[in-house]
Amino acid sequence: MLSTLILSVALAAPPKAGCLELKTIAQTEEVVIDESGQRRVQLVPAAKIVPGTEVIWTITANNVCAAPAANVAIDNPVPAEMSYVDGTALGVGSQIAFSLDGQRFGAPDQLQVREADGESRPARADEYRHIRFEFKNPIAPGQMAIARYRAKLK
Amino acid sequence: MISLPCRLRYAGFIALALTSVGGAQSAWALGTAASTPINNRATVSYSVGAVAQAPIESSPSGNSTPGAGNGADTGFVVDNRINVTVTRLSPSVVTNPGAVNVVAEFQVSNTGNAAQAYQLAVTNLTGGVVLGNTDNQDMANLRAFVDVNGNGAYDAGDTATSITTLAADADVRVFVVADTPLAATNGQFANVRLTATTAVNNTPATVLTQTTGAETPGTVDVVFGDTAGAGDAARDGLHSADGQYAIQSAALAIAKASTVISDPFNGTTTPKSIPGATIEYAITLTNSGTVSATGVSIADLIPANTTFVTGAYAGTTDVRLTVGATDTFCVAEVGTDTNADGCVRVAGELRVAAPLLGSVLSGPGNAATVRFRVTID
Repeated sequence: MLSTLILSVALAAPPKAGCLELKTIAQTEEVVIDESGQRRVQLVPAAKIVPGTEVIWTITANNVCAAPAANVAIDNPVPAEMSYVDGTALGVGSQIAFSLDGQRFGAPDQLQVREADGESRPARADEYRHIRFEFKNPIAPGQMAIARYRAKLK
Repeated sequence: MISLPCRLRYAGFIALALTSVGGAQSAWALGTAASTPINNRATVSYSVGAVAQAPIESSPSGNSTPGAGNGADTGFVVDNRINVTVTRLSPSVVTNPGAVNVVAEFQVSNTGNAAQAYQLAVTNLTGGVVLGNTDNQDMANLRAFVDVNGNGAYDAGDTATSITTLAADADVRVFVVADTPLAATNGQFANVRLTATTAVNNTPATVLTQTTGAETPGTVDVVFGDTAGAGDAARDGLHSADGQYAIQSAALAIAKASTVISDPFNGTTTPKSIPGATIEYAITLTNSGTVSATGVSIADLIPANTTFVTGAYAGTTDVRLTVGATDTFCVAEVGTDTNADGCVRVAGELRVAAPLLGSVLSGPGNAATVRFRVTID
C-alpha cells in the first residue's frame, strides 16, 4: 500500500530532466563535386526519399549531467516501412544486437526465423525490426554516444 | 504472233488477324506509397552511480526528459517516384493496303508509388528498326486510345486519348489505331512509337514536372525514376515503346502467250499462222505476294481479223482455266453470261471472272492460266 502511494506521487510529479539528451536525425547521401573537382559523398538532411532510397539514421546520446552514464543502451525500432541494410550498424564502443520482435536480442547468427513448414532458417537483415547498441564504457559528462545505421525505404 | 492489249483488275485482301497477348500482368513490388509518413524514435536506457535511470526517448532536436511520450518522432514523408513503362503487346501486326482502324496493342504500366495520369502520343518512325525490320512505310491517321472498359479489345467505348488516372502498380492497355495507305506494297513495314508522358493525376492535360532544389520536409516532392524507353531518356517522366505494322498484299503478274494449234494445210503438224489457222492464247496470272488476290477478273480483246472459237474445249466449252493440275471450263456467251459461269463476250472482248476465275492464291504453284482459241480470218 505504501509503495503504491509513493509510485502515484512520483508519477504525478513533473518529469525531471535525465542525464542523456537523445536525438535522432535522418539523412541521405548527396554526391557533390568539391572545389578540387573530386566527387564527394556528403550527408544532407533526408531529401527526395522514394522507394529504394537509403536513409542514414543517426542517434546521439549526449551526457548533460556531471556524472558519467553507465550501461548506456540505445534501442531503435526500424521503421515498419523500411529495411535494415545488412552490415551498416555502427556504434563506436558498442556491442550491437538485433531483434525480430523487440524482445529477444542477439547477434545476427543467433536469430532464426521459423518458416510455415516448421523449418528454421537464419534471419535476413531486412527482417530485423529492432537494433540495440550497448555501450561497454560509461559516457563521461559532455561526451556523446553515437549509433548509426542505414535502412532502405520499402 | 499477235500481241494484244489485256486488262486486269484485282483486289488484294485477307481477313485481318489481330493477335492479342492477354493477361500478362506485371508483378513489381512498387514500394511505399507517396506521402506515407515514416517516423522513427529511439530509446536510451542507462544508469548513474549504479542506479538505473528512467529511459529517455529521442526527438529530432534532442530530448532529455525521461518517460514514454516525452520524445518526438524524427521523420519524413515518402516522395512521389515517377516510374512509367510502355510495353508493346502485339507482335508485328499484319495489315493490307487500304485497311482502316488497324490495331496494335501496347500497355502502359505505373511502376511508381502514386496514382498518375498519362498523356499518349503515337508517331511514325522514319527508318527505325523494330522486330528486325526496317521502317519503309508510314501509317496514316495514327491515334491512340485507352482500353477504358478494360476488356482488352478495342471497341466503341474506347475513345479516351489519355489516361486520366492509373493507380500505382496498375497497368492499362492502349490501342494504337491506324490506317494502311493504299499505296503500301507487299513486304513493307510501318514502325510506330507510343510515348506515355506522366501528367498530374486526374488532370492529364497538365504534364508533371520534377521538383527542383532541396527537399521540402513534410511535402511530397516529385522525383523522376523512370528508365530510358525506345525513344526517350531515363528520368524524364516519360517512356516509349515501338510497334510495327507488316504490310501484306497480293502482287499479281500477268503474261500472255500464243500458240498455233493447226492450219488448214499442215493440220497439227508444225502448223503456221496462216488464214484459217487456229491460235490458242494463254493468259497466266501469278501472285508473288503473300496473300490471296480475290475478285480477280480479266478482259482480253479478241484480235481483229480473227474469230473466236466456240466449243474448243471439253464438253463444248469455250474457255479453259488451269490452276496447278486442275482444269475447269466455261462457255463465253455473246452479250450476257446466261449460265452465270463467269465467262462472256462483250464489246469484242472476252471477259473471265468469278465463279470461274475469282481468286489467285500466292505462289507460283497457284498460277492461273486462262486459255481460249481463235481462227485467223
